[in-house]
Amino acid sequence: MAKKKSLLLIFILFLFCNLYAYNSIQVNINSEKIQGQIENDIVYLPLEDVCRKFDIKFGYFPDTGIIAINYNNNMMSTVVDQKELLINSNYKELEIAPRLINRKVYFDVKFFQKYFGFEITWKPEEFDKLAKISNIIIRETGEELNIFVVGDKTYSKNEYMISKNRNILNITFPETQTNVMTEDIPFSDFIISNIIMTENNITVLRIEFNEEYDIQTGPSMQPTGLLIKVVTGLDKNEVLPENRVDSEIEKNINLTKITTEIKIKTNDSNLKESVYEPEIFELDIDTFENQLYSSDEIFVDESLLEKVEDTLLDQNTLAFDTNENYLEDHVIVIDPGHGGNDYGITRYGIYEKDITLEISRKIYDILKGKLARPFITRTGNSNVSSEDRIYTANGNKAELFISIHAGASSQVNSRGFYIYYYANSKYENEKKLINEKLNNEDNTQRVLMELRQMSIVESSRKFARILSRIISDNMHWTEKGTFPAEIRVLSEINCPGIVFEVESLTNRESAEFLKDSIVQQKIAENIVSSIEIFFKSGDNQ
Amino acid sequence: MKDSFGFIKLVFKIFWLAILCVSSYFIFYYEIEDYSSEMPDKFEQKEINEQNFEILNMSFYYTDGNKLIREDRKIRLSHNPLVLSGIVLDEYFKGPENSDLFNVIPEKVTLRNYFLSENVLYIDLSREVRSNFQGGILPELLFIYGIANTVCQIDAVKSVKFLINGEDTDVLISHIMTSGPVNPDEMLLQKY
Repeated sequence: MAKKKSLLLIFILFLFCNLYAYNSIQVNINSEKIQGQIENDIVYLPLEDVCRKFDIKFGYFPDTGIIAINYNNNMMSTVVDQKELLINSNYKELEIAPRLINRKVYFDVKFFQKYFGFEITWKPEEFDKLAKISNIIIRETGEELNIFVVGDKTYSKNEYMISKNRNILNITFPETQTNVMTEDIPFSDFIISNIIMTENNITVLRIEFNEEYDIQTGPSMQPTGLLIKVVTGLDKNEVLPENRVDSEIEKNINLTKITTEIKIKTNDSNLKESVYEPEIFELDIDTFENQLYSSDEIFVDESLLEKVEDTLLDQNTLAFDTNENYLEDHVIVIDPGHGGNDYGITRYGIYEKDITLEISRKIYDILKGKLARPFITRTGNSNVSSEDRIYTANGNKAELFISIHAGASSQVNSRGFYIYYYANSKYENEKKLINEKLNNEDNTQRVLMELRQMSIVESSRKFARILSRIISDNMHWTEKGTFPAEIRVLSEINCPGIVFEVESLTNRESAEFLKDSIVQQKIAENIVSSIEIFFKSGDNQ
Repeated sequence: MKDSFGFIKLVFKIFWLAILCVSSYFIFYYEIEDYSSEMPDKFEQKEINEQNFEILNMSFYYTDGNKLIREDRKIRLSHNPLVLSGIVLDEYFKGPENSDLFNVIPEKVTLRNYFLSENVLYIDLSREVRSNFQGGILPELLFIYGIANTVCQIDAVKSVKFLINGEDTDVLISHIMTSGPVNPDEMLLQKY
């Protein structure tokens, strides 16, 4: 009996020893070796050992739990199990609170990286943890579809996502037409991705993770994740799902259906540069069809996707195919932003008011040549109030109002264009109210007025989309966004209207570019093309 | 005789037990060295002074030039919403801690006054908000929603009304209408 008990005791001791060994990890800090601990997938290092190796003064008070460190004349203090960190009397927040393990103070590796500037690495085989896909974010910008597969854990800056098994992830967009058969994938060696058109107008984006292949994520990506950029072709019949609001997509991805496991592995080697090798895959649907629904699937809610409109389908070929003039007799008001004392953005000796006027004049001339009835809110360098601009539009019974502006950003490298249409914050509530009123069938006149306002907003939004597509396709500019905003000049006009912020004037390159008369002419031509498509589609009604 | 052997056995038993206890103490107990002599005096003082208030976690929204990016910070908690609004605004005006982010507020703009009425926080800004503004619609939207999204995290603040030099203006800077209170909006927030 006693023998059995002692054997059991030895076994338990052995188990403990192994468990301790399993949780420990040897970490290199600036080429010095330190024994760390892994707890809940976080690597902790003993403060005492690190401080002694690097001759850093520190103090720990077991009674109060206060930890004080003096590093490079920076006084740091914190408390065990508390995230507050005081550095020279400034408050900072630690990502992970310091802990007591075997009565020693341990900090996580990121603390030493961030506040001591240490290079911390460890051998990959010593650290191997599983993480799951926590989220998938989809964003479409111009010709590019970005899919960001987010892992649920992060470790250090050298991170890799490794596919554990051969996994297939399908992202399905219902009610979407496409015949895209080409794509450029940065990691084409081990991910095969296709957009497939099936019979029922379903677009499936297929991502295949091959077994045990590293997927580089890069140090700047937080949290750990995989960014897949799918460049779609320029086939005229190809239409991807319309620009979507990211949050909407996020909400509707059914995360419970994701079972794909992806390993996150750390590596102490330098990050490799991935070679960009675009490849074209001809997809054999028969081969893939059997596997298509057997793998992990994410469905994007149908209600979020707009049905593809003929206008957008035809946008590349429209208007130029026929001899019919869709602009004839249409009243279009062009509004060059700013003017007079109001210079708008001033950078590198270039004034926004001059750029907007030049582009607007060119639009005016083209429209005039196409027998439209254009009006311009200012013809020279004069001060024009918002009220006067609105009066020009409403007084001439404009059918479309386009205000030209230039963009600005605190980030001087930032480039791209923005389009704004008017929508006040009460818009959604008004929509509901009108629906209620229509059911009651009273106050008809007022309801009709409100409906008219709503249809103006809707038409403005449609024109903004068309313009955005045309500019990004033909000018190859980056579309930064189409936003509803309470812009004064659009607030009281009785027709669809937008504000088009052409390239950023705070970026030197694009500022010089916008000054060029040929570029201005090209912008004007593309804006007129958009107007033509808009009137042909009948969205101005 | 039998009894005396029994006594020796007992002594040995106690002796072994004592050895076991002492060795296990040395195996499992690790004495923490006291480094208290290295603790600077002034440091201790600060710790005591600044621990006397409650801390609140808040997200501050600044920009990378294109979107609003969240920056988490700890501020002093006050149970009076007006005082808390003041603390948040003071902290917000200091700008981002992350060097990759930019402050949405133009240079030299000061907070002249602020008051809370019917869940609307009135923020009175100095006239430099117009004169020092770099221009553009996006920076204007980032400015408005950077502030609105930050201060509206306070329970008692549902919307923000901007005043410039004490005056109620139709247009805040150049383009965007702020005649009414502004509600927080997630449209410009960075999603990933």
